[in-house]
Amino acid sequence: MTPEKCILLLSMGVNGIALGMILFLLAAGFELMFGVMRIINMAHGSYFMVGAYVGIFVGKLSGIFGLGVLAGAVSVGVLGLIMERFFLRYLQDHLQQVFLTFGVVFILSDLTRMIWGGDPHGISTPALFAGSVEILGKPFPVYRLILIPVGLLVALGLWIFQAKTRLGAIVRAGVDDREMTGVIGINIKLLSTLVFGGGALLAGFGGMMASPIIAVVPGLDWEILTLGLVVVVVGGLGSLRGALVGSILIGLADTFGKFLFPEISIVLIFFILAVVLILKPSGMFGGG
Amino acid sequence: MHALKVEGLCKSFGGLQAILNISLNLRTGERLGIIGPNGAGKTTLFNLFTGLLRPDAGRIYMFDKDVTYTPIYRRIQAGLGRTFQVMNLLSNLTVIDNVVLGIQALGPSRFGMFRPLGAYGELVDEAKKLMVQWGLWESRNMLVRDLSYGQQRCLELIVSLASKPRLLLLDEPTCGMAPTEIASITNIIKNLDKDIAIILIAHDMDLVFGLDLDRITVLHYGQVVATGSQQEIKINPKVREIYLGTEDVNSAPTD
Amino acid sequence: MENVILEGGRGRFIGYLLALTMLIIFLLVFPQIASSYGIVLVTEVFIYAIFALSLNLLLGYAGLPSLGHSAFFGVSGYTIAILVTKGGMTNFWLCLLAALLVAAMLGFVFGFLAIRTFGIFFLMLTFALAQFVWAVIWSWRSLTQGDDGLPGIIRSGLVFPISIQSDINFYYFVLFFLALSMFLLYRICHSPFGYVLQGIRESETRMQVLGYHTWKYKYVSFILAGVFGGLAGSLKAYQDGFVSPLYANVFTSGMALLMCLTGGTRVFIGPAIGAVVIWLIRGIVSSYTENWSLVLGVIFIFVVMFARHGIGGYLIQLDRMINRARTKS
Repeated sequence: MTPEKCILLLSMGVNGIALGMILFLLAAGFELMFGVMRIINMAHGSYFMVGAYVGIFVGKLSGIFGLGVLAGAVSVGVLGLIMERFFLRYLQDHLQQVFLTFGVVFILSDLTRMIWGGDPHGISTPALFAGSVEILGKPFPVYRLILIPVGLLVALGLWIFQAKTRLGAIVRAGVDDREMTGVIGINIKLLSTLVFGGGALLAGFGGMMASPIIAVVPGLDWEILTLGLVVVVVGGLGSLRGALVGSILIGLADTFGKFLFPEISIVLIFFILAVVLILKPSGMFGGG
Repeated sequence: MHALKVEGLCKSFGGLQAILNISLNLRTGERLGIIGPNGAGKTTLFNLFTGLLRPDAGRIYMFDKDVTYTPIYRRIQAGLGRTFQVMNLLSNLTVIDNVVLGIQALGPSRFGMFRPLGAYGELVDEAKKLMVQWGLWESRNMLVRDLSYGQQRCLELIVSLASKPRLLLLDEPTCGMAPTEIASITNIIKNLDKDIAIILIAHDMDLVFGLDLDRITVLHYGQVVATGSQQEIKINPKVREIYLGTEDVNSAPTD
Repeated sequence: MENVILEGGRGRFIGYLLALTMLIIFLLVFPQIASSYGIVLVTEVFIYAIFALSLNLLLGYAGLPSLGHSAFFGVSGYTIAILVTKGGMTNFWLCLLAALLVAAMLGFVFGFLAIRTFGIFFLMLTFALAQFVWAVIWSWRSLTQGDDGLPGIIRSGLVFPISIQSDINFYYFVLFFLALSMFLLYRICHSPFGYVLQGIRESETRMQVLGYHTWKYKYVSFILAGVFGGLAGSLKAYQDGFVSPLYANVFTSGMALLMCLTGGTRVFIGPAIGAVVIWLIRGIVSSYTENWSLVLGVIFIFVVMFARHGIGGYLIQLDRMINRARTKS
């Protein structure tokens, strides 16, 4: 194993983990929605994409990347709030809810294409994190390195929220017993709406954070949703830890896959999916 | 031959030990009642017997065959039948649909793909016999979800009989029923074939003692606390303590 | 469900029989009076009816919501395309057989993975599997020419003594397959196997405790649905004369799903009705705008929110009213 190969592996590893962090932002919001409301939000990939489009638009207009991030996250968060409050709330059957979110994807897909066209959109990395830093004699792009602590911070924040705060306990309680939660005076409806909005916000945030390194085109919604679902199934539905581990795993798989089989990199990812399904259908950290 | 033999059965969920070291024997045709306060693990025990749950330790033998890890459908083929406390009927199908599906389950026609189900005369005749016997024939075309609660409970019991089980697990068959309906269910159970071994979970003491069971086992926190004849259980001080202690006034055994 | 095992009520079928006969006559006469655009449109309706009906075997009968049905559509369509354009095979029946075999094999493999899950998980998984197929089709350029699609599928000159080259003849040909599929699927759905599927939909636990090996039933239904889905894809390939990755795109899955939901999943004929409605709407909409996806999404939301049992639900109510009125008189 020559030093060049080592560094190549390291650089690919960094890229893979950075991608994994982005996937984590997506998967975490998804898990949040599922954990509290048992909703599989098929529109989550669309949220990601809309966050990117809106964020890029605002970021380019204002010249401030951070503003774009804010705009992307908030706009999608609002979208999520609306979707829960006016549509999902009125459906009790979980399957019907999934179908509804599925329909939303078609709407958003066309809307974004109508507004922003079919050409790829992108934004240059923010000046603060542009360029690269030298590690072991090889340049590593700063932005991708930055994504790692960002993702971990979000993971930490979510974990603290879930495990340590009162609100987090309420959210967990909402999972276990909706009726009881309602009885002890917590407005489960408000909670649902906020959680859904929060999950959407995470997706939009992730989308915008990804925009310097991902091509934002029509079709991104389905693509990223697929990766996100694989992450969630592999990591185990309902587990934050699973989302983190799964995202990193799939992020690495995607990066190495594209390197090893550039034409059909997706094969590696589905191989992992198949193996997990055969050995443990509930996912690595999933509970039964 | 024992209809059911259980040795050292254990099951825990996360940190909760639901079933701890339970052993019991049931002879062919014997009638056993399992009682105990809520959360004692009665339904969990049934789920282990049925195959819906895998035990952490222990063995289960049905008619002298080891079925500890056997899939559910094979246990049914071996002669098991079961009703559920929270009813598990096919609610959007008709009454007769439910019964026919029950009858057909172990039969040769169950994979038939080309003839309509109604054309299998033998199945329909058998369903008719069973339904007429237990008074469900008139409502045969009604959707199960349109039946009254009591009728559904009755159907739940009938359907479990359709596969002609030799070991029948009844989980709270009269749960939530009015006294008159309880009487008719009691009647059905009393008139079941003497060869069928039955284990009955019940909360209602009147039902348990009214059925004249051979033995009663008392469960508490996943363990067997007492087992014996009706008389013995009635006067057992531990049992009285369990029931009086849990404010289950109506269920306390009285002489 | 509209099925009753005994006494289907022969009397009330007279009215339906009449309506059915009129419909059949209309369908047979249609190509003689319609424009070529109309003929192509209705032929496509037939194809999507087969597709939606096959999906409903899983969705409506077994209670398995599959978002991956487009995989079968695409795989079969491409099998036909590759055999005809690259393999030079002109025998329609051999090509079709191959395409159906490929679809069955796909069902064999995917079903094994997917049936390990149920409900929502199944939905996610079938979606992911279908995306996998789409990605393979899209990237395997040497075989499929990827995004460009495979043009040049000619309908073989002779099928039996008739040529299916003309649109009119192909219309009748597809109608024949529709009738055949409906007949077979109807028999399957009302057979013991079909009722067991319905039982599994209602309560898989109950079916297991009755003694059914439910896994086997779900697996077989998945493969069956896949084969009929593949039939639809094959016919579409011949109809269009070319294939593109759109065949395997989740959009196609979504459309089939919408057809089932709109027409009603609880009535056998529901998905066929849904196919008619959705495809006709598409025909109208696409003459005004290319944003069909947007309209599809809106219809989706509308149906899910306000008409969850679809047209079929209303038909069942209508049928009950008629029956009640008849038994009174």
